[in-house]
Amino acid sequence: MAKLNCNDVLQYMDDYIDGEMDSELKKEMDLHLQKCDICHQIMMSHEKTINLLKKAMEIEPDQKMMIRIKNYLNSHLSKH
Amino acid sequence: MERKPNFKEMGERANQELSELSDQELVEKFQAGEKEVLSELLNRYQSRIYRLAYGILRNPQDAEEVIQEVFLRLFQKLDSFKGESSFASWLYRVAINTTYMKMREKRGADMLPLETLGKYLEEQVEKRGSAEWSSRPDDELLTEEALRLISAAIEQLPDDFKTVLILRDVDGLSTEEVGRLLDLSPAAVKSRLHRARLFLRKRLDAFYRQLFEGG
Repeated sequence: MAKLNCNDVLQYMDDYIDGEMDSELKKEMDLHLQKCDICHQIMMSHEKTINLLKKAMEIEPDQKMMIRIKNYLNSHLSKH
Repeated sequence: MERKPNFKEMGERANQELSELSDQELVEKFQAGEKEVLSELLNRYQSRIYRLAYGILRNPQDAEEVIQEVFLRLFQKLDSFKGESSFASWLYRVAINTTYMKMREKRGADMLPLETLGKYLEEQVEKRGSAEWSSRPDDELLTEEALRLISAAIEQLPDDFKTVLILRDVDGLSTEEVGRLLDLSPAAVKSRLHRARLFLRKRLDAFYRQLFEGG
């Protein structure tokens, strides 16, 4: 495969992060990322964004809400 | 005789006996008349449905109502579930449809049209120097203000971008699973995911550069 340029790397960035990439292409990506600071930084910030999103969305219904949901379902399902 | 679910008593039995059964086994029990197994399905899936609904609607009360509606619908429809897809996929589909219905009821003015998002959705190699913020620890980055920014950015995404982002990055479903749920090709899922992540990244990048570099 021909050497990747920066636009190629940006195009494949998600496949690289998600591990949905064949090993040959991954090697090319790794090579490029070792040499190109800009792509490396973009990749880092992209990956960090995904991690921050995951953390920001670590939410659960609280105990009070769970009780309300159960009460609601009990009252509605008892009519069936 | 058919046994009604009693969610108040769900704790002991659900945890002790039902939690070891597969979804399919629970569905079969339900279809055989043991309606009380619904409580275990609620235990198992309420957090995931909540994250999906909250992720899209951005309102805890609306997300709570979605869980209630999903499980009412589940009670009414589970007898006709034939197992052509997994129970989880079927439930996700019900949850997505219920969330979208709620979204249509509540549609606010916050979501930006695609063309307005355009500048955020195109990737370009920008020689802007180091995005130093990305090497900082998460604890330092996840301030209240950053959380509000992430929340507002998600809210501005078109619904299908938002749904793909939540299902892939928050719930951890595969590209193929998301495609099946939303009737999208894997390429379409990847494209939406990429653009949603890109939008979020650009918003965070601008925010953190301002915060840490004053620029």
